[in-house]
Amino acid sequence: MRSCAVSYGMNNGIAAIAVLTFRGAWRSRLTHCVAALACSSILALVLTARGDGTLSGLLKLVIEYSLKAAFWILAVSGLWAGCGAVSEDIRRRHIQLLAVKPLRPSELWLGRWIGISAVMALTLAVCGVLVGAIASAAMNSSAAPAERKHLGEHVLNARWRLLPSERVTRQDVEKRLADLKADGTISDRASAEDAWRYALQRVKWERSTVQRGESIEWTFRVPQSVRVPQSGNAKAWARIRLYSPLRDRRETAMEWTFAAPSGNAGYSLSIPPDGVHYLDIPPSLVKPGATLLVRFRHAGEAEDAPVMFDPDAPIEILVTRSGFAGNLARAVLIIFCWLSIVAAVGLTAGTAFSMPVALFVTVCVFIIASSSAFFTEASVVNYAKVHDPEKISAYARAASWLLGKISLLLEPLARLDPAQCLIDGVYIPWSATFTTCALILGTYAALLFAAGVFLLKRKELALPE
Amino acid sequence: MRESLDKPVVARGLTKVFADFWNRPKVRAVDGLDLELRKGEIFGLLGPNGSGKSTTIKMILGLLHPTGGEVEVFGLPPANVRAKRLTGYLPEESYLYPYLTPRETLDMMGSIFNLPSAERRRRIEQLLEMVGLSAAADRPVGEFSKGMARRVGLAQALVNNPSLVILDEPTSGLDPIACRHVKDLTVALARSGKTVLLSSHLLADVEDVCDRVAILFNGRVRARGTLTELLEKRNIVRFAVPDPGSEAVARISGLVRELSGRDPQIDHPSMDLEDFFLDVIAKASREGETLSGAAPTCAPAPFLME
Repeated sequence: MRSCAVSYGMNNGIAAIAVLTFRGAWRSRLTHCVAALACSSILALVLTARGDGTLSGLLKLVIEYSLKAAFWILAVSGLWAGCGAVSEDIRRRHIQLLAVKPLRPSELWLGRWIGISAVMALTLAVCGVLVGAIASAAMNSSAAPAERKHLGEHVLNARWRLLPSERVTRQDVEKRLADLKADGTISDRASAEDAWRYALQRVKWERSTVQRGESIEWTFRVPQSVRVPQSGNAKAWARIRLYSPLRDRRETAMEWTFAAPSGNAGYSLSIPPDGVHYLDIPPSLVKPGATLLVRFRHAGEAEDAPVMFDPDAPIEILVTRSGFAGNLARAVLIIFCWLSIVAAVGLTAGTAFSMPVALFVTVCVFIIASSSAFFTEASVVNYAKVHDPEKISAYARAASWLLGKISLLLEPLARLDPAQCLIDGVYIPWSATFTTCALILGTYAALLFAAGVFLLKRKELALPE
Repeated sequence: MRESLDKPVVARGLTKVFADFWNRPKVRAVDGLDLELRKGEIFGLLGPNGSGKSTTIKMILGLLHPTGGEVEVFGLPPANVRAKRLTGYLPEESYLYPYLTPRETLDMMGSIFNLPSAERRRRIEQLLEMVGLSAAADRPVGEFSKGMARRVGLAQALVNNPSLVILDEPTSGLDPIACRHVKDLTVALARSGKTVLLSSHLLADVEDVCDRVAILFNGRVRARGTLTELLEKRNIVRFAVPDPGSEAVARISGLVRELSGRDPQIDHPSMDLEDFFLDVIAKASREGETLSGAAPTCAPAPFLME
């Protein structure tokens, strides 16, 4: 006698539906194709990507786009599976067998969601292992030692990232706002919120620009949680992001000073005033609970252009924390949570609509949602809101408002970009991982679950066609 | 609210109107139906296609929401999980997941009923034996013929040893041997105290097994009662005796004509085709012929009789 009895640990109804969903996916050719596609897209990327000519650049490209390719392929398949899980059960009438069993709508929804998520988790884990293997192969490649050293320190690493205290105060923005209103740049009819945002951005840009001979300072308060390894391998860096709108990017002389209670360090260097640059600093400067003061002086020639820092992330202090593998695992966990949300969206839409309608609706929602942040920041409406608010049509105003709200709703999801952290060699703390996962699963998934269960309870599951 | 095992199904004024996309009434599928099933009986819902049989059953199962009236299953709303624990349902088509094997299907259904693993395995084996699918238990249902899939459907309806069994067209797609087994099983289930609600448009099936029937047309009950009440012709008497010979027949006819003033109708009763067919198959089996398809046992699964 063959036995297929599965041991159902948790709620039996949920587990039974989850196992049913997993079995269905596991035995589907579509799932095999999706898994093969995700893995082969990563391998194809390795074979075709060229990067910036350096091993680090190539690996950054491969890591970022591999994870993005895996995410999008799995997101589309998860959305497909989610939209079809309930709606196709209703269309093919399998639901008539399940719904007459002692199965609550919540158990049906959860079981389906867990099943789809489990399949995606498995495929994503395979992709993650593949990315890890590629990274390991790059580290063991025959590239020059200097290149491998750079790779190990700045990409295949997990470093604490310290950000400077905010340099722009409320008073600074208020003063600038008054000036901008006085000279007519900001219309009196602009809303207070729009005017404030515009003034803040202006102040940030102005404070990020340093003229020749001038200086700028940042203060870093090192949290108690930052533990710098005591071994000789401990390292620290200042990562500087410069921005030049000019084509002429000749090297500019700069003076950097790092001052901490435990000591000082100073550097004079000439670098192009554009792109990302690293400065090795003594790790002893970074002490938990202490303050680190960083000062920059533009020491260029008379003909040198002003040095402009990235207004949102001008400088970061990075300190050795742990290895790449753990960071990759945490990044994959966060990506998995995103995917599970995609499946939940599909599942809830599939509860309300038939599969084609659910797919159409969810794809439209995703397009609008993913572009809402861009349109909110970049739309001409933003400019007009401040300068000529009366010229904005009611339609544009409503669309802008709606996009703004969607962007606000989704902002917590985009707060931590795991792929960006990975390629920047920035440590993704477990606390941030759990917070992000808890936020995604506890808020977004919970809302979708409540909506799905509500719809499922109200739905008649055996309507004639 | 507690369940009441004595009242498997009570429906009062049950009405279902299907609406169109704009929620405008389109079809009145069931219209003011009153129904009360008694414990341990086999109740037949009869009617032509579109008369409201399946809609009624789906409202009893909570798959459709009544537009009017009310329905209770064991004294509970149909969507109540406790009511569903006591109910088994075989839909008009099997609607099974094609990628699961019969064993996996039954295991999944058993687990939804929270059956312990050992008990689940025991019941699965007995049910597979009962429906004659032990040999095909590990083949995907998608490869099965309609009749074989129907047997899996029947097995899954009984995995929880239900107190109320609802069978919608249970013999559809089955060969005459399997039909007979289903009918025997239905009777055995009722004898063990279960209530059976059977919907069919095959009158012979209903006549063979049902204690009471209701005939639906256009969503309304047009006739209801026991089969005897409905079918008995009280103004006609039939004697059945072993053939007494032509002379005796002539004398009895004459006597009847003399007493009633009418000519009696005299004929030889015939077997029905199902009995004849089963007789032929039984003879062939005794001669050593074996079936290549599914061969169900005649006996219901032992756990159903517990």
